[in-house]
Amino acid sequence: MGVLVASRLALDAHEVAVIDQDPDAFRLLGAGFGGTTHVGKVFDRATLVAAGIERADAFVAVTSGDNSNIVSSIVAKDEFGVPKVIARIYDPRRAEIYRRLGISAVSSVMWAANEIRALLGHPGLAEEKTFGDAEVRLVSAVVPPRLAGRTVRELERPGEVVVAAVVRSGAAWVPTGGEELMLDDEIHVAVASSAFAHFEEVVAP
Amino acid sequence: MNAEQLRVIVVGGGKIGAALAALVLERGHEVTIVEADHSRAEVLAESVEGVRVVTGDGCEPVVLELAGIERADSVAAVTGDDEDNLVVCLLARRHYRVQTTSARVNDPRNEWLFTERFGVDHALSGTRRLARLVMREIESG
Repeated sequence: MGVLVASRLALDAHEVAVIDQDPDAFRLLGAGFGGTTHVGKVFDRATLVAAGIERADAFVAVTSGDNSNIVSSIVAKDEFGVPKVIARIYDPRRAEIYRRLGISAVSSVMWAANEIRALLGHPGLAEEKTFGDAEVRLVSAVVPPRLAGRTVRELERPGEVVVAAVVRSGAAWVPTGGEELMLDDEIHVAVASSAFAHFEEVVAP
Repeated sequence: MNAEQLRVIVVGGGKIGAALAALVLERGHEVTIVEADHSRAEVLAESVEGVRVVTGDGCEPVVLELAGIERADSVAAVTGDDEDNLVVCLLARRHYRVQTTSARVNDPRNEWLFTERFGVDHALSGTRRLARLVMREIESG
């Protein structure tokens, strides 16, 4: 995962330094990688300093160990004052705890679970983005025959379901509540997890 | 339970964890060991009389809760992994508000991390301490 993050950031013309305990890991970066590589533990002071942590704008901890990621991100954030720190944490419940402790924790397991759920469970619904710990999701759906002629307001629920955009024949706009939907309109909707099951039924084909 | 009795959680049931748990019990306190390895946990339950053993990863909030961290007075993180010990102390202090924490430092190079930043009250480096003692012996001839 670190290899992917590093090569993509390098492609965006950022200056990237990669730390890994195992020098073999750097081979995956490929010959074109323009950043620097450093062998060592991710929370070893000398290694971090050699990698330039003292003037880093961002620190990303994506080792395979949750604890290493937690420890190194706290070091980066509190000890070296790196402005932007992100840690990958497998377990969503732990990710939530560390978020409360001030670490930007992304839970890859949660992403995968949501993705799988979206692929399996919601015909007609596509998940575009989740917010927080997936308490709110942005989903898109195509208006089925059953809903054609209904107003946007009929689809919405105060505090739970909001239609953010309607796309018709390639043009998009933010609708008003009284607007009528047409068959095959593409709608983009912010849905609270509390209303997800309800909304799923509403837009089912 | 008298007022002096403490509730102690020891994370890591190796030689140090077992010896520590036995000491805690000897002083009349209550102790729970958290040990990840099943067979080691069984050995501990049989060999340390009066100890409570919870099997699981001590960096896992659910496991710490099973061990009774919400009512614990003191947590000691003595596993063989420094990052694990740091995370245990961090959770104990900042998430569960445990009064005192102690941690074992395995690699002296990591000693700088064992501070209040990770919720560590007492950091104990066996390696460094032993080295110092041996040096004293050498010098005294």
